[in-house]
Amino acid sequence: MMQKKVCMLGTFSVGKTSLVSRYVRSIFSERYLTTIGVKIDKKVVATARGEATLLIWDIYGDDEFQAVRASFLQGASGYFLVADGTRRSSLARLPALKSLMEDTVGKVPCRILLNKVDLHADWELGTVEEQALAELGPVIKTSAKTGQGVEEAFVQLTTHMLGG
Amino acid sequence: MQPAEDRSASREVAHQIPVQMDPPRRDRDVEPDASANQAEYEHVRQLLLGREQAQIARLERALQKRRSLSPSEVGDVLAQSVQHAVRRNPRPLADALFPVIGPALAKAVRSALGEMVQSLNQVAATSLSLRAWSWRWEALRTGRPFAEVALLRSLVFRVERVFLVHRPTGLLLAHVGAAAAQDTDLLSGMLTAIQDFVKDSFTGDESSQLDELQAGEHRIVVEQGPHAFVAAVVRGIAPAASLRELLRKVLSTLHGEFASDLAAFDGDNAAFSALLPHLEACLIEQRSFHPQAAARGRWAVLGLACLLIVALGGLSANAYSEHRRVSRYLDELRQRPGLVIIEVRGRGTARTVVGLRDPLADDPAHSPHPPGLSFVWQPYASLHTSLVLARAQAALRPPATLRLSIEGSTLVATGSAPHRFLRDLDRLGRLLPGVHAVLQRGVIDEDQQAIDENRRRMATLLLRFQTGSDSVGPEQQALLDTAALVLRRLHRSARALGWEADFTVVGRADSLGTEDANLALSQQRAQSVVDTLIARGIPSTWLRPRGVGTQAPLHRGDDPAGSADNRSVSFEATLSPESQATDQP
Repeated sequence: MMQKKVCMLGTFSVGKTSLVSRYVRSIFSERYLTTIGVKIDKKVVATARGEATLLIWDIYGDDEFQAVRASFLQGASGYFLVADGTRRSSLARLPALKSLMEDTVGKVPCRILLNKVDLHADWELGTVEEQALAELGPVIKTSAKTGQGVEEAFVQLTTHMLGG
Repeated sequence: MQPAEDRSASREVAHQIPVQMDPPRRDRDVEPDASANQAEYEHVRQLLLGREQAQIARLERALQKRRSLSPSEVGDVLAQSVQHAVRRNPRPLADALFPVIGPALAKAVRSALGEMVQSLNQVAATSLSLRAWSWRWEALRTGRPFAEVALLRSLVFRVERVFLVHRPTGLLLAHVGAAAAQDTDLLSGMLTAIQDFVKDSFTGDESSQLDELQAGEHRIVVEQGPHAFVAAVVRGIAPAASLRELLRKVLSTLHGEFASDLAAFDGDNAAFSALLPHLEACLIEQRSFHPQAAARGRWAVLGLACLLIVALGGLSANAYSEHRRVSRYLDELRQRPGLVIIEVRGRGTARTVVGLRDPLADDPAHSPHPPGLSFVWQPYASLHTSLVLARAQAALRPPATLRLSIEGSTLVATGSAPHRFLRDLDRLGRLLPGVHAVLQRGVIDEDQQAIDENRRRMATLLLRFQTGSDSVGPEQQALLDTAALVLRRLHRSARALGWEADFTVVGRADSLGTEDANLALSQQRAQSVVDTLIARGIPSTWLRPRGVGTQAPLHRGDDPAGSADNRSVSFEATLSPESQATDQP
């Protein structure tokens, strides 16, 4: 079967790990995230263009204490940038992460995941911020809690990767 | 520095020449046929361009000389350009040279190993043992140096899995070996991440890479190639050089024959399944000496053993195989729960095994064992689960309906059993060695159950009488048989629970006639049922006849069906503690 490496990037506690944990096959402990900085999960995605096995490299946060290791990004066929809709600050690093990704692997398919859409009450983002996000790439609103948008995000990215 | 300056100087000259040569060429084009003026023209040319002509001649000479470069000149430039390329980025050069250097290195390693083996050979040649003889035989058969065989046979290992992983993406290209194949892609990804991690964290240097990981008794040997790496999961200690040689061979094939597939790799690893035979070749193993020798041909070993007998003049082949048989038997014995072997006394054929045996464990003396072996056992209580359970079964003797099991140090009972058994189970169970608690998991008390059941049944028993009659009709005989049975059963179950049961036989009458007459009639009805029950062997002490007349009718009113039910005898059971019943005879 076709295999693809996919990276998940985003700052701390935007829900990257929970976003995948319910939908993928995982054999590694989450401790690896903090020790070696990455955790690898697997998901088989069926699209109109065929099936593919995604190897999802969930890459440990990004802030002033720990930078993302560029070597973990190598060879990725696509990536997700994850932001938290209830924290405006979680958007700030996304453009930098996107350009780091593009410097390392070039222009590959990308989806922006706006997570925690289930928490309407705490939503901090206005239309201006959402438009700024849309400039980075196609935005999908997701919820790790309810599962909203998650499957769609995987299918969209996989379809895009298989098409290119 | 010197050559670079030279080059730039000559480039400057060459750049100026065409500009200065242009005008004369144009002159020649204007007057091509003027031969009379030739000498004059030459003269003018000499005047105008004399210096430049000399320069051109010099350059022509230099160029002619340059056309055939000497090897030493090329060597100088080549060495410098290689140095320059390596300083800038060594990777492309390393990639290009890899298929050439890989096999060459392997060859060098092989020859180095060969030399080491040569020297070992001389040392080992003097050693004399059964094993040494079998190695010698193997060396003779295979034509390999004795020391190499000895070295290889001393290692015990197995290559269990081999991964071929695409370096940049961490995606699995091919895999062979043990099961759990569905997670190999996750493992290969993680192996790649760990390598990146190690490289980034500790060295930061492109050339120093992780080439071995140790995890418990598993070792992961990694061999790096430019675009892929092979990882072999090894149990035990493998001969590193020969394993790495096999792995390098896979990489050479991949980077050579599959170079274009590798360059175009987009996640579809189908093309690389052609490499599987190469990977399978890496699944080498070396078992311990004994099974190996057996597999290699018993005859060879036997022959060698015979030679040894002659040489040493003592030990017989029989004794040797007997010795092995006995030691295998003893190993098996040590595994059995309830047996502890403390020592084996004596040598040769007559040997005594001294140890402890739980009386519940089978005595090896009573089952087939090597002849000449005798046993001296001291009894002990083993706390092995199987023996704790066996001891509980033997001590408690549970009925077939009760199942016992051991969970940790808890004796667990399920199913059903008589009351008396369950009453003692908790107390007795805890007395057994190895049992700290007793748990009755949903266990049914059979006696209590029987009492409930028979009481329910008793409530349905109703003996009907004809109007004005106190005689039990023949059609009621079967019902009386049932009543006698139910009373006996109730009495017995109550006894088991420590209770005495007695029964009130209640006679009734319908509302026809006077109250006094009805009371007397009901008493007679009760008495006649009591008499028939005594005739069926029920002790009279169990029975208390009582007439209630019309005082406690089963049905109010005087409709025919209700009246028929009221002309009847029914039963009530009273349970009282046994002691009281015996105190009041």
